[in-house]
Amino acid sequence: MSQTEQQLKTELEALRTEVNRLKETLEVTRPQPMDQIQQAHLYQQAQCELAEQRKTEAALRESESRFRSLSDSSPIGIFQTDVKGHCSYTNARWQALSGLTFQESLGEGWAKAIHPDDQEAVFSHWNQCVREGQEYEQQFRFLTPQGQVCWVHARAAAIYNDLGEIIGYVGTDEDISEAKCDEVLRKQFEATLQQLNLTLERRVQDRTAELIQVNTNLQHQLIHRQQTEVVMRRQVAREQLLWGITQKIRQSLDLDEILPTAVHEVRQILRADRALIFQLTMEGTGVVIQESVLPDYPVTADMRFPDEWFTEDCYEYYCQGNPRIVLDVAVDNWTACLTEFMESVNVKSKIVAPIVQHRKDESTFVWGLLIVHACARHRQWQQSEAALLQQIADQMAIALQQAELYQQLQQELSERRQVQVSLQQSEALFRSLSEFSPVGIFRNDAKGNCIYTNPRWQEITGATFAEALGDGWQQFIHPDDLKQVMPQRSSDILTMQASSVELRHIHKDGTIRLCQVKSAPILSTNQDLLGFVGTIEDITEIRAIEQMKNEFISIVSHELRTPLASIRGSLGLLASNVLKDDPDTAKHMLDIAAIETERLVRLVSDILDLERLASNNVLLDKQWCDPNTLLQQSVEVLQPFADEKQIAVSVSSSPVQLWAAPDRIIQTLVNLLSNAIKFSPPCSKVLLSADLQTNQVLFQVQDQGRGIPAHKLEAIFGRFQQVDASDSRNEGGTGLGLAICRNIVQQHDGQIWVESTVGQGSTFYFTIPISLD
Amino acid sequence: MTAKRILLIDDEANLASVIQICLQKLGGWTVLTAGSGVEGLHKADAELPDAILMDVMMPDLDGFTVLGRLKANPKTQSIPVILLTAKVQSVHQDEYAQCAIAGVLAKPFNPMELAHHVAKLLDWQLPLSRR
Repeated sequence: MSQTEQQLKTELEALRTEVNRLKETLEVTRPQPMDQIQQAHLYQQAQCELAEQRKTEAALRESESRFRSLSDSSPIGIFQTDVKGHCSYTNARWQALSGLTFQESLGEGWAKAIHPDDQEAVFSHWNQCVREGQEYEQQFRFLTPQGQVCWVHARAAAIYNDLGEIIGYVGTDEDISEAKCDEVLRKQFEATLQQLNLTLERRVQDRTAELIQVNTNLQHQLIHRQQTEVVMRRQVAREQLLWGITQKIRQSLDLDEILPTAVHEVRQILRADRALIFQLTMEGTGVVIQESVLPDYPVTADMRFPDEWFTEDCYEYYCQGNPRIVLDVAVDNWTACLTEFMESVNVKSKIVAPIVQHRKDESTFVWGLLIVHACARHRQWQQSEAALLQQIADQMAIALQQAELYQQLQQELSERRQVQVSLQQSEALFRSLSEFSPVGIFRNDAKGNCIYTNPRWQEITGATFAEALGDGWQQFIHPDDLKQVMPQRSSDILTMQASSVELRHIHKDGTIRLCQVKSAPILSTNQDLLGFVGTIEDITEIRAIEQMKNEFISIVSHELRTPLASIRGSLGLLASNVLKDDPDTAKHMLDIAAIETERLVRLVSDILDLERLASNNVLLDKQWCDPNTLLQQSVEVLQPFADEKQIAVSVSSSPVQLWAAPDRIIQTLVNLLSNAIKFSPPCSKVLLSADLQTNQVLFQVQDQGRGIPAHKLEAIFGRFQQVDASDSRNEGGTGLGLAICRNIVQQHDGQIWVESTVGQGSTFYFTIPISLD
Repeated sequence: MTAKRILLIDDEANLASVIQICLQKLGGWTVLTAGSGVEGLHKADAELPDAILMDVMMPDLDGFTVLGRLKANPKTQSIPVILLTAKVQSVHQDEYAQCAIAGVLAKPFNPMELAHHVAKLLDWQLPLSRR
């Protein structure tokens, strides 16, 4: 049997049961026996009723069939229970929904189809509806034995009997799984949406709160910025003020300008009645060194504050660069000692800013105080004003330090200038010493290479500065002497000794200069050889003079000793009585003594005279004189001598006045005339003349004597340089006459010379300028 | 015994006279004189004296030149020569030391000692009466 047939049977059985129940019902409701009519009636009625009932039954059957078909084909699950809830019918749809068979659904079997989670709710609601007589309507889930869940919308209504009593319930279970699913989805969606809404809302709220917060912050920031801007504007204004005053303070490095400027500017900027600089002294007190005060108030600059004494706390506070506002000086504990004074100078309140300076070891000290006073009334000084005053005080500290540095710098500069001037002077001194030194100076390095020569060195050697450098100096030394110099130089370098040598330099002009070269080592403080400094002296002339001197002394010695020897010898013999028996010889010896004594006297006189003239020790007694007179006087002296030799002396002269020492001119003329007579043959002529030339007078002494050899023409004016050595003895001369003449003429800035022809005679000339002017 | 002969060469006539007297009177020697170097050379060569006393500074030939020539002449080279000079400074001493001379006598001399000095230089004996 198929499931459908089984189901139909079940349904049919159920329907029968229902019919029987209806029958029973009818029987229960059937009236009690009646009379015939009644019975007939009743029968008829019964027949009618039966007919009716049959109709009804038929109708019912039809209806049942219709309902069955309806129920079977219904898309909605249908069930029916009795009053206790025992299922009596379920249609195919219900079974399909619940997953139960018809049989399984009967009785209380249907309850098994309800999802365990929903059972309590279903039963509860069902019971409640039953109790309250309400229609049951509920949504719940079927859980099929296969585990499928099916949402149903259940409705049930009570079935009443004619008495209005509930006899059972009929209900439907509509599959709402899809709707429920939709609903779940919808609910999920809604929940999600709601969640989203909530989230969104929350976010909006958060964002709003955030924005509000941001806005608040921005407002705060704006306010802060505005405040900052105000502060900054004030700060800029203060900076500008500060810059302005700083500029004015720093424009000068002179304290005498800085301090007055500072107090004036400070008083004006802070609109104070008085501004002052109080410099601390070493003793711990201080003195007002600068002040700017309104005319209404007393000046404190000249006042002293011996009573003011900084406590350690106060000094330390200031030392850290802190300004201090004193709103009421009368109650200022730190400067209680000044209270009385403050009153006397009308100070009501003040700001004190320390001027702190740094020592070299980075420590600080309070140089002084920059103070502003309010005198007119108590003033509510602001921190910004104190800060500004402190900044100005700081700038002043810098300016003061700069000024001090500047002063130190100036002093140092001045000292350096002095040193430089001294150095320049010293350099100029040493340069002049070297440049104008009459001694040649050279400087060699430690290897003996020349690195410097002075002008005199160059003059002596004929070498230029450049030519002398290095070993260049060697080429100017006589080769024979260089052989000695080089080992000497090496020895000097080795031993670091001073040395002195005489060597010959060959001058560029070809002359040979005898030089004395001295060199001394230059040593460092460590006794290292730095080089040599040396001098060079041209001793050519000195040596020549020395030689001349030696020769002169030798000659003088000979010339003096010779007559002296004769005198001593002759007188010695006479004195010894050796010649007592030989009176002729004795007389001869006596004559010799007399003659040689006379000779000695002349000699000594001439030597002394010549030396005086040569050393310029004779002051010429010059005067205007007539040359003719001079000539005449000279002739007069020698006239006897001339007469003796029968020599004619003639004189001629230009009429001119001469500025000269007449005695010396006469001495010269007498010397020359004496020689002329002496060396002239008897009966010859001697001519004397004095002729005017341009600015001078030319004297001539002409003789006709033996003449002078050409090679002697110059030499005869030297000392003891007679033409013939025997002249001094034979002719009674000393050999110094012409030398004396030359000296006298030279003393008059004139010249003397001789022209001569041997065997014919000589003419001596000398010139005397008319006037030195 | 024949008296020693000394040739005196000096251009100073007065001094020569004094020396001559000194040597003759106090030395007992014969004194020949020459007034110049040239004359002295001639006399030396001709007379061959026992000694020559000669001035250094003379106008024609100085003492050194004359000395050189005397020494160069075999006839005169052994004759002892004494120089008589005023040049007695130290610088001249070296000059004299190099010369082959018997000695040097300085001017001015003590006339009473001259003969004694000459005798000493020449290693001569003075007459007892002159000592």
